[in-house]
Amino acid sequence: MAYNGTSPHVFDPLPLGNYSIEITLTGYRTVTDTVSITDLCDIEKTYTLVEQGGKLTVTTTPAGASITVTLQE
Amino acid sequence: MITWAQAACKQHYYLNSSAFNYVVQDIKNYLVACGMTLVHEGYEWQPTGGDTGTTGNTSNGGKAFFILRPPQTMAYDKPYVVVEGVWIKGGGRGLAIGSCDSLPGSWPGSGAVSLPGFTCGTKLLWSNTSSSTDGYTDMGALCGDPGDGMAGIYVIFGNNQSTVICGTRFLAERAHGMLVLNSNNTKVVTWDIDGVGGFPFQSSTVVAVAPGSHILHATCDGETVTVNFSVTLNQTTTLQLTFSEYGLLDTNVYPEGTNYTLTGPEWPTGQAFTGAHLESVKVGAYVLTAARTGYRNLTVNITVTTTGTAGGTYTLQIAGGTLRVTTTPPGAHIEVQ
Repeated sequence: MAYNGTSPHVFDPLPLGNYSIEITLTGYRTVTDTVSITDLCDIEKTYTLVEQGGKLTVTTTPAGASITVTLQE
Repeated sequence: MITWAQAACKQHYYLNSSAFNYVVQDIKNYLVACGMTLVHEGYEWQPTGGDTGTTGNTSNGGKAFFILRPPQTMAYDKPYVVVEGVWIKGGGRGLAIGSCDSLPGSWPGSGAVSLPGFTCGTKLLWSNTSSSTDGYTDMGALCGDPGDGMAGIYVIFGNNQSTVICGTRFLAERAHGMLVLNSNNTKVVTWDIDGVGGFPFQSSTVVAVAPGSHILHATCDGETVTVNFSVTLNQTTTLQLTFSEYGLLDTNVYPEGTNYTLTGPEWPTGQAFTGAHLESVKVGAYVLTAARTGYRNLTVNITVTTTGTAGGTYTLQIAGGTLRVTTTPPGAHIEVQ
């Protein structure tokens, strides 16, 4: 059974067991984690999401050209 | 030993011709209801002539009689043989108690049977004048011992118009001590002493018991207790009868199908149940315990009393913990599975 929420969120009570956690936010890298729930436990998880993106290296010959990169919606 | 006493008048009868038979029957029925056995009865009505008794009246008259025997064994809550006699306030013949036809004032050839143990002719209870209690104190000797199975009571009623008759109880008291029975259970207790039953009672009763050693059996709500006890003449003995008391216990545990155990006076070592259970159980403290995978254990203390219904419906809590998730930035979708 899956339990869903939007951060910040408190799952209470969460039945006993081992769970996987997946956190997704557009523009950020998906985070996965695991947690083990025991009776009456109170676990706090804090995640700092990392923005998605890559490194673009542009080289021109001759050098010195003006470069404009526009995000396509 | 039998002693006699006179209780207050039960009822006043106006014994005239029309009421004559009714009164006789009424008194006879009362005696029978007291436990006596009707041996014989007869009735002779002389509407136009005087009766033939030696001291009978000379006006319109008649006579009726019945013979009764006391019970062979008297119930212990009936320490008395109760004879509903009559005595005359006005005059004339009202009541004769004796045996056989030779009793003075009786009617020869009336058909009365002889009763062994009686001394005829000396124990007349009656009044032939205005004296209202003449002969009263002789009555005991007449009746003999009601426990010996030999005596009987011969009751003759002569009619005399316009004679007011007072119904009077004559009590034959057995030698006894008093026994107080107390029950911790408020329900009806049936009982016997040495096999002779008494009137059922609730909570407490007092009975007269012959001196000596006895065995009491008392039953309440299906439970019987047996007590050996002794009674001393003219002394009071108290017996505390301790029965189990019962009350209603109604339990159920959810989720459906959960097994639970009840432990208490009714089930000292515990009894397993599933689903709703309603039962009359011994009063006292009970513990309900339930365990189910994925749920927290449940323990409930329940007190069952004689009033109301104890217990209830209980729901197991899901076993689990708390998970708090925070992200930076907020607003991320979290899925836990």
